[in-house]
Amino acid sequence: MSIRLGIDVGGTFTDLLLFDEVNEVFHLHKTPSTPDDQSLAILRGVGDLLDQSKVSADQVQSLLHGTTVGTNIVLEGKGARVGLLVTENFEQVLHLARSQTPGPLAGWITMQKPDPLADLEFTRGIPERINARGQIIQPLDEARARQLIDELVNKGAESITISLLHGYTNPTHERKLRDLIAATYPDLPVSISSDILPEFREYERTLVTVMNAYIRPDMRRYLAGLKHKLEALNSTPKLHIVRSDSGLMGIEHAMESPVYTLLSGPAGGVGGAAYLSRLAGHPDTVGFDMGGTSTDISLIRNGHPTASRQTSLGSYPIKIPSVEVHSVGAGGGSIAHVPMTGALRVGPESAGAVPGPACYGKGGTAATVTDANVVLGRLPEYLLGGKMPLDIKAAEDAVGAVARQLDLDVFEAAQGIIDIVNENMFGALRLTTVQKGLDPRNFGLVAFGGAGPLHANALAILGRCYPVIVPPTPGVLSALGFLQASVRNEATQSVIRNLSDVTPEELRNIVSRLTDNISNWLSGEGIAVNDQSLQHEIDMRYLRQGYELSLPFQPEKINQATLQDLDERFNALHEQHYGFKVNSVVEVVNLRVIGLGKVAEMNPSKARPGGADPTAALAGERQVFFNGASFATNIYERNGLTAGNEITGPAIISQTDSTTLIHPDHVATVDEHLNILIQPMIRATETRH
Amino acid sequence: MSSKSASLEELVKANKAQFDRIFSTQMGTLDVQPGVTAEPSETPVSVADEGQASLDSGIRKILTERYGDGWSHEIVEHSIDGDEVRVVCRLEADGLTSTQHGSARNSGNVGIALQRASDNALARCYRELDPDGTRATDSFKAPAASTSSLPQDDLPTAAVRLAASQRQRPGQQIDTVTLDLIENALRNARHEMDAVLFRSAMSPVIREQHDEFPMITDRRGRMIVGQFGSYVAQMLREKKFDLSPGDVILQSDPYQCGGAISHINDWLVLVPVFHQEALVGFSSMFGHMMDVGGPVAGSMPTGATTIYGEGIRIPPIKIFEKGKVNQAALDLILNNTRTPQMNYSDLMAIIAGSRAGEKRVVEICDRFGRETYFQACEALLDRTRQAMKRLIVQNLPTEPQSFEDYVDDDGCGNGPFKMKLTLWREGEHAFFDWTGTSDQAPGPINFYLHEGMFKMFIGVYMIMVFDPQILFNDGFYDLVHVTMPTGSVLQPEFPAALGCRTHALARQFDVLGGALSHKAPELATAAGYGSSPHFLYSGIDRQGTPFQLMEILYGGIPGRPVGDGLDGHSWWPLFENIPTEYLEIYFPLVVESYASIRDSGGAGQHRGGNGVEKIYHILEPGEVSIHDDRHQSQPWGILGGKPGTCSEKWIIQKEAGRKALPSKVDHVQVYPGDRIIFRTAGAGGWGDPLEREVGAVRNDVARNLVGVDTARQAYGVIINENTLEADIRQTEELRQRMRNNRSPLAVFDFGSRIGGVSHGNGVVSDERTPV
Repeated sequence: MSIRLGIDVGGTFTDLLLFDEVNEVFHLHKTPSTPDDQSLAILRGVGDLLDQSKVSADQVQSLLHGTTVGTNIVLEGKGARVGLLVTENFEQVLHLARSQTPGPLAGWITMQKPDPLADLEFTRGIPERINARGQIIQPLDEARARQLIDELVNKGAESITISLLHGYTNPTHERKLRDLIAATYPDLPVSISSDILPEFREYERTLVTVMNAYIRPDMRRYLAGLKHKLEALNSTPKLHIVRSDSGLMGIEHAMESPVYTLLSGPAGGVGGAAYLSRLAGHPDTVGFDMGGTSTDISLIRNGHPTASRQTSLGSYPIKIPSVEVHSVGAGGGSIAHVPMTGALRVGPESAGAVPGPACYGKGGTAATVTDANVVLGRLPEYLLGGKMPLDIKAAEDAVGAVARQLDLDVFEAAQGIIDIVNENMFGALRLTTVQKGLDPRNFGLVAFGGAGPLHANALAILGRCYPVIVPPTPGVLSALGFLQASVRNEATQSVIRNLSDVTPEELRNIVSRLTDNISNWLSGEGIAVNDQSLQHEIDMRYLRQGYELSLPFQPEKINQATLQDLDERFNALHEQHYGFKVNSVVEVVNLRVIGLGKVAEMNPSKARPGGADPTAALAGERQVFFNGASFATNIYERNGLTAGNEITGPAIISQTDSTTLIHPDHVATVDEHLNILIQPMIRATETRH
Repeated sequence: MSSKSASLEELVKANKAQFDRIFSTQMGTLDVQPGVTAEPSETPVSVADEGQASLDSGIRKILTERYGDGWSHEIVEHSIDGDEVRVVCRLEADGLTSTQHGSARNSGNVGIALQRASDNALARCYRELDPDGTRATDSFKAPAASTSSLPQDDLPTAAVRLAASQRQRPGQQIDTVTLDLIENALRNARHEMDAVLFRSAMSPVIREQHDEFPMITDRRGRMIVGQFGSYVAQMLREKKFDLSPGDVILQSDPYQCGGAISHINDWLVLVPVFHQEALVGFSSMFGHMMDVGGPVAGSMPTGATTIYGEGIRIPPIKIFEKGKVNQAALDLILNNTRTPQMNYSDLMAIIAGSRAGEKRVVEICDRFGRETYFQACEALLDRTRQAMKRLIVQNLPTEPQSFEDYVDDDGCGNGPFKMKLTLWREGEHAFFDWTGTSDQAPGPINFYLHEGMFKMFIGVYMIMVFDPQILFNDGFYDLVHVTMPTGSVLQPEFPAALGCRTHALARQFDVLGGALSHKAPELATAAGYGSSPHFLYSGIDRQGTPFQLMEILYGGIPGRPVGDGLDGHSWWPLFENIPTEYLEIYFPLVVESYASIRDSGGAGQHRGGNGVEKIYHILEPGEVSIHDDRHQSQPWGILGGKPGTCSEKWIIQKEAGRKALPSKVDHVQVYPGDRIIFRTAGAGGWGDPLEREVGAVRNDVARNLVGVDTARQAYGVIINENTLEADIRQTEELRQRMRNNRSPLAVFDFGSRIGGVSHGNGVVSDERTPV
């Protein structure tokens, strides 16, 4: 019997989702997170969930864990004391960073910049030099290196990063240094840039490697502790950690390279959204994950998340394989305010979890997006399935204060706050699609996160992205994403040569080395060769252009003709993305092999379609404001809805972890996976014919 | 921008206090007014009082006592009529419903008034339901399941529309929320223009360093979104065009747009935006081209004495007419650059970016209506105007205030060039007068300052700390009056050379900041590296392939009210450095060192940023050009902070050894094995160095950013060279001695300053030989 358990640790709640393959059923459990030691809530939750689902601990075959341990360490600045070894005379690589100050003009006057994760005081320059072609132009001074390493260790370095210039093209010196350290200090964790990110651009490569070293000791402690505690429960599942690219890796690998897990939470959500898009039969969608402080917009094409190799955490740009997510500082907790110009601004400041929106009654007085929703009648009087009452008066007072500054009434101000936050999110949605030369109207919208289903219909109206798909459990989509994830890793090598100068043989050699790496890695994860699938990508650009486009290719078919074909395909792709092509040399920048190891298929049972009448789920009715007008609006219980139900807007659908709002002139249907699909009335009528 | 509004406010006050203290001791005669708070003077809101009053309402309590949880109510309808709020309210209790109207006076908080009105209605409902059974009649009883006592055919669309006028302001046609929505949509449009350009531009200048600027104007050519103020009206006045959809205008002549682009490297694209045949505005971008011809690669010859000597100058032409490219013109232009492919790609990227702006404006017109869009443009302009009025009154002195600083030289042996600004206000009108600024330079350092652009600089400088999200625009132009003497460095007469204007451009901000600092303490920062240091290296490599590098270096960011100046960062927003690995992959050189220069930032409570040193090892024969400044006049410190060090450049040749290079020079012949050392200037410090936290000084020493000697001499902090620990007791003693023995602190410490009078008493850095 195969049982898998997905665990997503969020700031407030830890979600546990168990899939029982034999009975094709899910079991869900939510428990408050324990931020000081995330494993406590996990252990408690696993215990409760196993009780609830009548499954014994030893039956759980694999456990798929998305963790924010690494993210929190970075954001809170509580990581290890990292010692950094770089090429001599380049000690300030992190200190000088990319020299950038923010806009607008004179933005430097108020800029706040955190200290580097590896302090300059703990950085040492090693006498050595490799040039851009990988040639050693100054040999490594081992004696001096030993001295400097001793110095760092004696000062108290707990984790070491090695990042030398052009280490991506020739890792000899980096490896030599690593071995020197291992010989004297076998227990000291060492991260080297040619392993973590073998790509050119020294600041970004060093930063990612330092970040790995920074979170590594704590991640190791945490993961080892978790494994140990599970064993004490008589549970020995294969323990997988979710990567930022929504793939999985075993905990041994995660302990070595935890930097790949930094964005595992959002990645799981997008993975879940992609899975749902496939299930719902709408493979091209925009993922819309609206939480308390921010909203993540992602792009799902052909049922799979769009990959990115450039993301950011806090103020740090990080180049790790990740699900492409565009974050905007707009969420349920975003604060509305009126600056001296008399404009209505919403966010990016957020009331956060504490004190939270005024209506939570935890001492917040600032008007937030959630308060505006309360004023407009869009939220039920209780959240969390009745456990949490909303203080409507507090919401009205908070929004009322903004309204007075604007000379509006409280409902107008509330509508304004909602309209503006929607517009901000729509900007992110536009950017996500337009940057790739895509039209948002060709995409559906998967709504998740606590506030996603409440705003999704409005966002769809702005972007004309239909249908809106609201999953059965929008608040725990990450955990669902984990359950359907594959083991994944990728290996990249910077090449940087004109396409016309490379030979097929050269490419094949590099690809074959990368393939071996990845294949071994997958085997190390226990994936049989037959279950491994490999994808190959080549990143190309016009000579010296700043950004690369990735093209899939088949290495076994590489020959002179297919190289020419790559050139043409690149030009075509460039034209698609940017609307023009250039009569210029095309260069190869990176080769990449992506390895996937299928864990298991997940085939949840389908609900039997029932009638269109949703009356059985009707729970009440209230007045809700839409665009300055008040509508009598039915409230339905999500639990009571069955496949085939049709709900005419305006309507509110209430459930424990979220509230779905259906606007007037829209209609929602419940599909056989119990997703809610919202369409405009006219379009819904058309498709029915 | 960070969300530190509260701390910023404190900081402004602290900064102002410090200012006043120093002013009153040092410059007692100057006009010093008590601190003006940065807080907008809104009427205080009395939430507590009204909230208290509404809590007094007893009806809800009565209902709860009577029905427990078994009652509910909702507002079916509401209207606001002047002071009065009226509602229709439905009460459900124990399976019965009643619907009644109620009213209350609106004393400012509509939400609360609504609640009181509904309480009023509920009380009527309660009487209607008549729990004691004395007045109950069947006609008032209805089953609770019925959705409403209102006529069924009014639902669900029987919504009570709010009067449209409610969202409008007096004298403003458009409602405020729609205005904010359009503002957001325009901001998004601008980001989209950038995104499209960055993703497809080829030259590192645009792509890595972001030397490009988008703008959207209204139909009269006034900037609605953008950075530099509009040039459209001026441009179209110079040359009339019959505009059609699909037209794209290209130009690069600073003298045909009032200096909106200030050198010929900037190619400016203008796209008229049509909504259903009607002109609704312009979308425009300009970006820096790698090369536009002329005698020197990179097209910014330091020796040019007229604009004819700088490269190709494009008058406003239609490069696309009704969507069709003007191939002859394009060929002609591209034939005049050393980098035709790159320019072509960058030009197409700029056009694509402008088109993205065009598309979005059309969509906004579709979505909100064209007339609404026009009204929004007017209202956005007015919003900025109103805000600027207050900022002018708040931040500008009524007594004229002058400040001056210098550009070292013009690259042709002349200089220094004084830049002098006097500013004051009369009522809500601001006056900025550049009289006293040096005559135009024979060399190419003239900065043809567009009046609109300068106004924009002033506005952005003043407003950014108050509402960083605002879309800054041309709305306030009539409030600001600028005098720029014709024939001066800032208003050179045709055909003066303009190629190397970045020094005067940067100095303009030093002068503006210095002059404003008296009354705008939240902006009081020291001076920075004050230039846009360029390193250019070109030649033909062993394979016969030409190469051409243009790199912009950065330096010390000034000590600031919020903290230290950054080491080796860009004062211009969003510019980035070029990775060493990128340089070495594409150009025949090895970077031997790239680090900030210890002790180059001026001491201060908040230290000035250090300049950077970059050492290039040349691998192929070629030519080097250097553009830099601040090699004679130090970046000044403020409020007791010390000045930063000057810039310097050296060449080390195998035979000739080490030789100083001028700060502006072309045609430096270089050979394999030569090294160029490029050291940019540091920045001035902010505040009294003896007030700097000992721990911060200790960390600077441990990080090799400040030397042990400087720690002692400038900061009075004694640090053990071996343990790197500070001796607190000795430090206290030394600092006390230093305080007792020093002369009073200066507001500005100019250090060594060529051509001007040094007002400071600061430490003058080591002697330098002017080149």
